[in-house]
Amino acid sequence: MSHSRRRRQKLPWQIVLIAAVAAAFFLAPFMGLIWRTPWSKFADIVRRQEIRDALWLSIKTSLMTAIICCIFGVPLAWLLARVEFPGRRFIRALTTLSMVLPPVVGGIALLFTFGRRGLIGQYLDSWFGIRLPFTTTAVVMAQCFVAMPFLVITVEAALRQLDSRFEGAARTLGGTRWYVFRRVTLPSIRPSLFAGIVLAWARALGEFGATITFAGNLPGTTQTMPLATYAALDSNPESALILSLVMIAIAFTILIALRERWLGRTAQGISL
Amino acid sequence: MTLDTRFTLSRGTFTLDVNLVINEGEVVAIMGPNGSGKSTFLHAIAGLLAVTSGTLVLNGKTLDDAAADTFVDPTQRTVGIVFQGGLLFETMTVLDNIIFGLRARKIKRADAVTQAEPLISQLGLTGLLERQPRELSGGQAQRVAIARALVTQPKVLLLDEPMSGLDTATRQLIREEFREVLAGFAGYRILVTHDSEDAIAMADRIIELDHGKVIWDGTVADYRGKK
Repeated sequence: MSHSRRRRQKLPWQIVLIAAVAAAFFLAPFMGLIWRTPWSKFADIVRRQEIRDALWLSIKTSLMTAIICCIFGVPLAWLLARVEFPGRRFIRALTTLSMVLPPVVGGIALLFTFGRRGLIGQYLDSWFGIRLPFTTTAVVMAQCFVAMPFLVITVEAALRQLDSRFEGAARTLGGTRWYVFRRVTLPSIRPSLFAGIVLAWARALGEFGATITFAGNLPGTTQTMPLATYAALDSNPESALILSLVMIAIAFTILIALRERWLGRTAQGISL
Repeated sequence: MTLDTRFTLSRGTFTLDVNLVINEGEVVAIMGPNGSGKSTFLHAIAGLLAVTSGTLVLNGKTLDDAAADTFVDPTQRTVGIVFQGGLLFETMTVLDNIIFGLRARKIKRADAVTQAEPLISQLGLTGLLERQPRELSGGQAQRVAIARALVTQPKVLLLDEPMSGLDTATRQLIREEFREVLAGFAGYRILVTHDSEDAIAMADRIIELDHGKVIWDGTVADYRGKK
């Protein structure tokens, strides 16, 4: 149906009205933020060392998380989509659990698993002398824990949609499973893969609850932008406002840039 | 030399139960309604499905034996399939589709192109090599699919409903081309179709399946008499 024809049809005003309220609900907080922002102090605040540290830490850890989610999440999604094995439904529920779990609960679980007295952490400490909590590694672990499900479900959905006969055809042509995965499967799901990576990255950038619980709030080491923003809200609400704006700007810019560049207009799966 | 298919293959409530010997050189058409087990039969030969019981033997070599736990991987079977609708890889050009099987065998791209050259010109695909599969007509896509299946010089050529979805005029044309291709192919040739015209035009022997069982097996002449 063309645009001109659609316009001539009468819009159901009840739906439009309710939708407008929803859109306004998303727009209003941004307006509130911008309205209260002390623009004159903007440059001073973003130039502060602790803010630059937090920003750099956020960028660094969220990108690492995106890479790790990709390396581990794609094979997991493939397994869930393509291989029948006992306990598959359980594994799927488990991997997506952290999407519905309050992140702070995830943080507590990580702490009691990888902490110094935790299930795995005690051995890491006594055998290798590795202590994870309150390190930058812990920040990345917390981010992976909450972000990876976004990549897994996006990629799994794309793999399910992909006709498995394509892979079958490639196998009969002599392609090993790994070759077929690289040359046929991955290229076919590329738009969804990028969508999944972007979603996971965005989720990691915004991660708060699991990070502060498992990694703490140490400036320079574990204090990412959301943590710095929260900490500033108490002592210096003006910088909290400015930090919020900076994060909104980063997220917006990168989402739009990625969408234009990789996802295209005909991207399948979840569109951003 | 023969291709011996004496096996059952169960998927859910459906069971394919065959006891057929296919001879080298004959063109066999497998017919039957949807869900009769035609595609399942091809997929078992290609190694995309494993048999539930019995054996599958090609030229004396066991490809699949449920009892002995033998299963030759599809990559090692020398079976080429032309799928319904062509099933070309959408993310590659026509040329990359054609040479896929050679590249999978770690043959250098330039060598693969040289090797595929005779087949490409024989099937009249020279002008289409840089196109994307979605830019091809149904008939062109099927010719590319044929080239892709033949380029690795398989011993068995399986055609799974190669003419479904084509319009009548294209169908006539493609039928002629396929007959030539089949005539020029020395190994085992099995064509799945639900169109008796296609079967009569292209095959020497017709096998009819229904609900996973063979209900007719004979020459094309006998089949014509039956009709």
